[in-house]
Amino acid sequence: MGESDCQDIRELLDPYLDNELLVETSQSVLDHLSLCPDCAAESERRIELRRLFKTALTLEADNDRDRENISRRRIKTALEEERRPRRTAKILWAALAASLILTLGLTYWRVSNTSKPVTPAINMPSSMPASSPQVLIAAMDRDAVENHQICALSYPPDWTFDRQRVARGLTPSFAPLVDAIGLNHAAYKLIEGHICAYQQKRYAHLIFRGNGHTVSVFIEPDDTSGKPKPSRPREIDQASFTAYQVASVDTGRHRISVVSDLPNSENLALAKQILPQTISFIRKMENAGV
Amino acid sequence: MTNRKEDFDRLAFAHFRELRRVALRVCQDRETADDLVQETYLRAWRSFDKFEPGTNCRAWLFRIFFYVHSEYRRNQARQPLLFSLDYVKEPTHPSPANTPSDVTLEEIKLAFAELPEPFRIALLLSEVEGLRYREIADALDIPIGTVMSRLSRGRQLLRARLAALSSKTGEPGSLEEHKKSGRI
Repeated sequence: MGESDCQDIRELLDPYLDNELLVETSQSVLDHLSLCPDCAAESERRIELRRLFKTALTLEADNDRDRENISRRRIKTALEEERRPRRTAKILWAALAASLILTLGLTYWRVSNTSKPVTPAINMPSSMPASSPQVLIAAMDRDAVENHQICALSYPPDWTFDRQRVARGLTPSFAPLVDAIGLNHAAYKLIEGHICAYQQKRYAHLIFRGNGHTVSVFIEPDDTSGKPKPSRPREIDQASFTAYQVASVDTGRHRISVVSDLPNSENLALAKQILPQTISFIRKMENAGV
Repeated sequence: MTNRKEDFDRLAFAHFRELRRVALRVCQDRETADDLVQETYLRAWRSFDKFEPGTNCRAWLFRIFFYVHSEYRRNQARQPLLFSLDYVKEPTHPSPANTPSDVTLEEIKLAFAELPEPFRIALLLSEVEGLRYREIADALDIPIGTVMSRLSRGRQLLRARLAALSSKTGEPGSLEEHKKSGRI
């Protein structure tokens, strides 16, 4: 058997093992392997390498089932959100038409009566430009609430804290935050920490549970940086969105929010416990240029 | 709407694990991988009307994923996903006549990580996920001949790298010294 035969066969060996050769070519490889022990041994080695290759590259992902389940749930939640507007498209069009008529009517009424301005909306000051700091902050609070609903509330009731998992999830810069904040605050225990993305922003996200309530602590880069800051004192801001309360502070380059469905006073009391250590940690990060 | 939703969930989520596994390997960062897989599913849902029932859903999802990944890479202003094979350096060690048989899982991971991205992706899709050449071509939007050449070159480079790692075993500081699990 010529050396060039063996060389030709070895070039065909991988497509042969992939079952991608024509029947005739495949048969000629098979015939050669049955007559040439060297090429048959090479074929066995390649089969074994493929088996090891598959094991090596699937092992970590297969050991990551917890995160895989979380990821699957988050995607399904995001899909539900995505589907909702389509399902209510007709209602939305009707609402749009109604609001257009209402706006035209109000405009006509205001022009004709030159009356006082209309009262602004509840949380989003409609009298301000969309880029005003107050509107941006309200949008950040709303995003935090939505992220709390999509991410924190998707964890199963029996989810418990795992230091290694949380350290991996938070990335090295935020991993020490766990010890800075502490694992327990009153009845609330830390169950999860990770970096998560929502609305093209990345949050460091800690999740506490207790008394049947879930509490999120979010740290995000402040979207309003570079824009005029609101003239607010450095104290805790509070906002409400549907059944959720947000207590937040601005450290300069970051915004820290505590989100829960607790009554407003309880959410604020918890925020007062958690925020001082968090602010201190973030300021150290900011001073270190992180 | 309900049928469409059920069809999508049944067809698309059947490939969730494979897609996420590839994403984890391609992105090498779990958060980014999960973000890109989520974006893939959202885009797949939006264009599900264009998906023809009976055609290959897995290749379709991979195609969307690689498009999303390529877009992500462009936004990150890093090197584009696909580049000319002319840039690929020749291996410092020639491809061995025989495939090395004395290798560990760690060495395989190391050798794989050093391959150029187009070869890594082709090998992942073929050997780990079991896609046919035609499916890989569809997923990456490249000709089937390119798939074959990437697989061939990728395997050659992998074998050469493994042979080089094997030959270093036993030397001071080599992988051999750190192996706890022993040879496989």
